[in-house]
This record gives sequence, C-alpha cells and structure tokens, in this order.
Amino acid sequence: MTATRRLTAILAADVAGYSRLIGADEGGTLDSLRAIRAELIDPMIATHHGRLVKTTGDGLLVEFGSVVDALRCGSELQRDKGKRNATVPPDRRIEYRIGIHQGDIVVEDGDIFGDGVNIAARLEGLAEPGDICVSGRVQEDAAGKLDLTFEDIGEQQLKNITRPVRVYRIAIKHRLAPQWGLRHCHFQTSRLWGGVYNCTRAFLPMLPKADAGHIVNTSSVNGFWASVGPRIPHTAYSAAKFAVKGFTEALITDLRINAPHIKCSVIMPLPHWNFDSCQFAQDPERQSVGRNGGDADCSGTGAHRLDGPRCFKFIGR
Amino acid sequence: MVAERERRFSEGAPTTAAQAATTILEGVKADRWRIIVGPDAVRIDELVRQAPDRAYDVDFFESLAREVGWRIP
Repeated sequence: MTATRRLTAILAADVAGYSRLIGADEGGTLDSLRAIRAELIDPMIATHHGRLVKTTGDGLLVEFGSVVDALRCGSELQRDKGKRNATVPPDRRIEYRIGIHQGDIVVEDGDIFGDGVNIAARLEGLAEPGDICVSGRVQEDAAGKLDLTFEDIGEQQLKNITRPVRVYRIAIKHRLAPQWGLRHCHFQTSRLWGGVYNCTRAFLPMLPKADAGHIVNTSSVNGFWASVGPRIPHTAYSAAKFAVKGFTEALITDLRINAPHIKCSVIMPLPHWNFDSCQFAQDPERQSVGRNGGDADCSGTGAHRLDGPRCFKFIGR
Repeated sequence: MVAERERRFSEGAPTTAAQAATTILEGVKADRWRIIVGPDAVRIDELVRQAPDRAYDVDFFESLAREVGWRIP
C-alpha cells in the first residue's frame, strides 16, 4: 500500500435534490441514474481522458491530467444533460452540480485524498443545479482556451478549508433555456400577440357599425409578472402577454376618442388556465358562441358584438 | 404525459372554468378593462404592485407559492 502525490484536476459532481427525487420515486430515479451513467457520463469521461475514481449514491469523483479536459468534460456533460432535461417535468429532472479544482493530491489504492479533493467537493456545493463552480487556479489555466464565461463570485470561505478560495461560476444551464430559441420566440409572438392584434384589426371595421361593442383580449398574469418560478425562463410567453396587456391599455384612450361606444378589457388569468373549457355556450344570454379552435393565429382575442339581440362571439386560445 | 398534465391541471387549478367564465363575463358587463381571474392571480397582482423591485427574487416567489399553496418547481 503506497501513497503517492500528484498534481491533478479534480471534478466532483452530485445530483441536486437527490433525497427528494428518491423520496418521490426511488425505482425510477435509480433507473434514470444508471442510464445517465451508461449513456452520458462514462463515455464523456473516457472521451476527455478522465478516470472515474469513485461514486457515491448521488455523486462522483473524477480526475483529469488537464484542467482543460476537466472543464470540457464538465461543460459538455451539463449541456447534454440540459438538453435531455428539456422534455422532463421540472420536478423529475436529474440535474448535477459540478465543482472543479486543480491541486496536489494523495493517491492511495486508486482512491484520492487531500485538500484538493475537499475543495472540489465544496465548490460543487456552491454551484447551482446544472452549472459549474471552479477555483481561481482552474480559471487561470483555462481562460482563453475554452468558449466559457467565468463569472467571478469572489473569495469564499469553504467549510474545513483554512484559506479562502477565489471562486468562478460557469453558467451552462442558462445557455440552454429553450425559451431563448428564436423559433420559439417567433411562434409565441405570432400566436399570442399576433393573434390578438390581427383579430382586433379584423373586427375593428365591423364594431363601429354596431350600437355597442366590447373587445376582450386574453393576456395572463404573465402580462404583468414575467415569471412562472425563479428557475424557469419564461421570456417569449411573458413578452407576448405584456404586449397584449399594453395594447389593450392603449386602446382604452384610443376607443374613448375615436369610438366611445366600444369598450375593451384584458383578461389576466394564471398561465395554466385553459379557456377552451370555459362554458360560454351555456350562458342563456348569449345567442351564439363560437370558438376558433383551428387557427392558432387567432388565439387570445374575443371580439364581442353587442348589436341588437346580443351576439357574443368568443375566439378561444 | 398528456394524462399527467391533465391531472396536474385539474388538481392545481384553484378556480373552476365556470367560476373563471363568470368572473370574465361580469367584468365585461361592468365595463371593467382589467379582469383578473382567480384569487391567486389577484394576490400576485397585489404583491407585485406592493414590491415591484422584489417581484423576481427567489424568496418573493417562494413566499407567494407557500401562501397560495403552489408546488415550487
């Protein structure tokens, strides 16, 4: 049993919220972890010339001969995992936190020990799920060699480590937000905002001919609060819903000046509301109720004509 | 996945479709331009207006979620 020392790059990773995941679905979580190891983690470590030192229930420790290899492995792992998670409900996502440090370690019987290992583990604890935290040494060695942005979060006093360690955060997860895709933004904008705008424009020439009219636009709580939670990006949807609310607010004055017999309203429900299930058709006061279910570009607007015997037309989402 | 989403929607929606329709129709009849549907939506509106600078803080959301009984994603 011989202990040797060497300088190495250490990657420590663990599953965020492991106990919660196991508590919710033990068998399913363990099956998922086995699949992630086999399909993603082990091949990634091999590709980047790493050595898996050991695993725990929810974590793993890997050493690399190069800081650049360790960072490539960590960032690609987080990117691929993020892509896989995009189709998984948030409460079932398996997300890793990763810490990377370069240091002098003791190797004994294949296992590794020492401050270098402990610092990597503490850095991992500072990382957000899906992201990476690295020490100043790693940042100095890797800066300019990889397409990664290092955010300096200052010197941190890590538990059981004597001296403070300068820590850098690499935000991998934030680059993966599906709502940032241009295609998705265009879809949401044309459907949620374009539908309201185009429907209102289409009905406006008819409404002034009626004795009275009311334009009802469907926005959302996300029309005044752009959030469905602090860890879920919601940009495209919220931007479109803010536009609907702003448009309707602007119409108030426009209609008062140009067509005072027409009113407008903006509806703001929680984002999970499904207006297809609203029972407008059962209201005896409404003679005719229609829902344009086939044309996504008409979503979000109900243009209600109130001429003669009240005619109420609703165009659903 | 569709069945799961239906279940979560049914269990998670604090206001029925009929209640939502009533709120909207009463709002339109009263010529209100601003129709907020559901007690949790009303509460979000109040809180965001009370503390707009804090509206996107993690603790703002967690406090709201606890108050209205949401599961935190």
